[in-house]
Amino acid sequence: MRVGIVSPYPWDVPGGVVAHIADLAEALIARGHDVAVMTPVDDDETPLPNYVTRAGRSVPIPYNGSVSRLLLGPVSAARVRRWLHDGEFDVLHVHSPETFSLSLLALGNAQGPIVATFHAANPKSRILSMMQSSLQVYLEKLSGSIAVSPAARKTIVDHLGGDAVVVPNGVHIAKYAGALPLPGWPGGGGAIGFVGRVDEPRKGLDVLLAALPLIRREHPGVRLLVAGPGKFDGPVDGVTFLGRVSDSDKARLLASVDVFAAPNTGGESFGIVLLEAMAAGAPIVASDLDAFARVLDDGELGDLAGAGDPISLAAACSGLLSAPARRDQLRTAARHAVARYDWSVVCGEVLRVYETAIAASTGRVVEEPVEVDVTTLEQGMATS
Amino acid sequence: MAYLIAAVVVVALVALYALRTARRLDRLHARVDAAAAGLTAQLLRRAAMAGAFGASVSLKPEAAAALASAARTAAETPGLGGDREVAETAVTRALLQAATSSPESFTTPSPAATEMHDAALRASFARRFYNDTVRDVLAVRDLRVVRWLRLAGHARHPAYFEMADAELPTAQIPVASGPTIEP
Repeated sequence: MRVGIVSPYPWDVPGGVVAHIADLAEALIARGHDVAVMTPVDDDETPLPNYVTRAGRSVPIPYNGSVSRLLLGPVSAARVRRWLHDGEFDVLHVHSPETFSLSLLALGNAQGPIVATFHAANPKSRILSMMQSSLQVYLEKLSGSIAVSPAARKTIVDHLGGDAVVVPNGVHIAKYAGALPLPGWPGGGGAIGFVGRVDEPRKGLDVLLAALPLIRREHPGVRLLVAGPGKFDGPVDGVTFLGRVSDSDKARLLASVDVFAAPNTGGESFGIVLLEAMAAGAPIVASDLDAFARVLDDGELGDLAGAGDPISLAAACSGLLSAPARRDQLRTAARHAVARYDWSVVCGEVLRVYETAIAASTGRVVEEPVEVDVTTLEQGMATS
Repeated sequence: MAYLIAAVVVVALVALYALRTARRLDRLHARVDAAAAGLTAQLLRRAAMAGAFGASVSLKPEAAAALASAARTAAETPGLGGDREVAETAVTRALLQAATSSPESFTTPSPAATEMHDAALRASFARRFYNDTVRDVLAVRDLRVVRWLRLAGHARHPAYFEMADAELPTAQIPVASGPTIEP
């Protein structure tokens, strides 16, 4: 099958959606499919895999509490159209087409079997509801929609008035399953791990740091291993900060701790970091966010603590540190449960969506007869 | 004179908008037809798989008979009308009853179980995609310009397809074996 995938975000800016697209593309290629990805790339020097085509540079605009990337000008539209023409795709797969981005531009310029994946979960997105009627002209071209979680699906149903099938995010289990602990870890005093942007309040490192003194009452020797981008206000006693790490070092971090903490306070659509921890065999304490509770099967696969509540988080971490048998039990349960999220399985489900979408459309992917560029998109948004 | 020019401009704009909407609706009608064909194909496959599945795994006799009969009725019911909805829901019910009385037929890995699971999922996907397209068509048909200028013409008024989807038990996915090092 020939698959064209469009990323809304720049290839060279690390992020969940871009990582998802790269993993999906590689899983499809491993199954023998022809895959082409079109994406913004901010730095001309960035080395790219041979399946990636540059769409141009992106311009950041704030949107929905984060930053959306906008491609300007008819140059991008012309490039998208040439890519669509040359690709002769059986299916076009656009990611997060609800953002004003390359994905929407590609959707505007293509017709035929088109699938979209919706990544975001914003229970109260007023912007999305406001844009619904103007997005409708483009979204009605979709042959099928995927949501990465029930929360993301609910966002589509509530704000875009559509529906989607749920295909979860994937994880490369083999990358995480065999990792060796870092030298000197976990040690005898108890070790807790954290992965995520350290200066992003929604990731909850502050909550974990507030919980640390409370955990120390029961486990005086406890150490915290932290990895992630951002500015860390340290040093803090008992905390080792690694900064941004590679995937393989992330796997080693997860193998180095007795408890992996995910103290996020909100804004999570899925919780891919939990899958990575499960694959690596790290027992989990996570906030009781809907998305997390679902991945952790309401506490069967990890312990839940009140989101944003350091006392509850400290109690859960202390409890798990004192219970080696419970940790072993969680490790075993999680290792079995995470198999369902391996990219080999998830990729099969995405292919099932492609095939269903192709069967529900006529012909293959072609360009629209009339070019749609960013100004036309804007006009459409303003008038329709 | 100025009024005349203004009137001509307004008429031209309305005509352009009507033309664009008519083209949009035309395309949506084609899409809903394709989606209906896709859904029909997936429902037929599901019925065929249900028949084959009932014949190849060992179900309780009454469950097997109910499944075979429901699958046959569904396959013989044409179109996507109310009687098809009833017939497909009966297939779902027969599958769920079989899953309750002989869960091992579904959870023991076998080609028939894999195909059955796949066919049930595809039918539910196709149904969701079809209903989504129906919703898009109905939204555009509901626009004032479409109603007043009768832009929908004689195109069939599409209807949602409602039925119970079968969430079937499946085989446990084996744990990836790797150089796993136990702590």
